[in-house]
Amino acid sequence: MKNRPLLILFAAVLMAIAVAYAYFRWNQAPESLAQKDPDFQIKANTLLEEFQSNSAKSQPLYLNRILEIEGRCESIENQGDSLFFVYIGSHNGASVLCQLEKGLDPLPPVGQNLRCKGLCTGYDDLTGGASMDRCVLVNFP
Amino acid sequence: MNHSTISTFACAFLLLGISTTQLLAQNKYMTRTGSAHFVADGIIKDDVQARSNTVTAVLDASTGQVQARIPVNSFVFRKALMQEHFNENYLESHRFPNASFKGQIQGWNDQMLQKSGPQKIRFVGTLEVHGVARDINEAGLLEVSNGIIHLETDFKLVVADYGIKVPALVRDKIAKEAEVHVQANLKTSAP
Repeated sequence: MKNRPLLILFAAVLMAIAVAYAYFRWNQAPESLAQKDPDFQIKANTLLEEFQSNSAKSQPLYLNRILEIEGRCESIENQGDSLFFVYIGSHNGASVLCQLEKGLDPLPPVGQNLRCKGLCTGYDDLTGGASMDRCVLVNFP
Repeated sequence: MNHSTISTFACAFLLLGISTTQLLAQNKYMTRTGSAHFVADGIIKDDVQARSNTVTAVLDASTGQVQARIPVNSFVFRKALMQEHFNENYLESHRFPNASFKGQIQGWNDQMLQKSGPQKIRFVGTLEVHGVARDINEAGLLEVSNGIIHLETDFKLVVADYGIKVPALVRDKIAKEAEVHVQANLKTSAP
C-alpha cells in the first residue's frame, strides 16, 4: 500500500474539481444568445401569421426555441434601467415583442428592417402577437 | 325610398359604426410590457427569485374586466441552472407556457378613472398557473395619471396549490409560498 497517500491525494483533487465545477455551474448566469445559432430563421410577419392561424401547431414548434426574425421596426419602448423593447413586423395589428438583452445607443429608427435573435416565449392570445426575450439585434448598429 | 335617403342612412350607419369602433377601442387599455417578480426563498437562502418584463394585461374600462398573461419562460433568474430547473421541472413551461389571470376589478365603475391618486382595489377571478386554475381575490392598487392606468398587486402563491412539486432535496431552499408582485401601465393602444 505504498501508493495509498497518492490515491488519497488523487481522490481529494478529483473531489475538489467536482465541487468547484458544481459551484461554478450553480452560480453561472444565464448565457447570452448572441453567439448561439438560431433554431429557425423566419420573417416576423410569417411567424405572426402562423401563430394567429394555428397556435396549437405553432406554439410547440417555436416555444423555447431561438428564433431569428426579420421585419420592420414598428415601434420602440424604452423603460429605462436597460429595459428596451422593440416591436417587429405587423400582422392583423399585432407585432412580435422583443425584449432586448441590453440597452442600445443609438436606437434603431422606426421603419428600419431589423433582424432580431432571441428566445421565443410564445404566442400572446390576448393581442395576437408573439414575444421573444433576451434578444440581440443582428444587423444593428 | 329614394337614393338620397338610402345614402343618408348608409352614411349614418357608417359614422355610427366608426364611432362605436372608436368607443370600443378607447375602452380597452392594454400593455405588453408589464412586469412580474416573485421571491420564493426557503429556510436556506439561495436567491430564489425571478422577474419577467413581458406581461400582457388588458383592462376593459367599460366593465372592469381584466385579463393578464405571463410567459413562464420569460422569467429570468440570476442563476442559469435555477432558471432551467424552474422551466423544465417545476413549472414545465413546455407544457404550460403561460400563467394567466382572468377576472374583474371588484366594484368597478367609470368614476374610478376620474379620481386622482392611488385607489385600493381587489382583483377577483381565476388564476391559472402550471395548468391549475384557482379562484383568487387579491388586493391591488389602481392609479390613473396622464391617460395611463397603473395597476399592481402583491399576493402570496401557495406552490402546492398549483400542483408544483418540489423535490425533497431542495425543499429547504424553496419557500412553500412565493411572494408575487405584478404591475402594469396600461394605455389605450399597444402594438
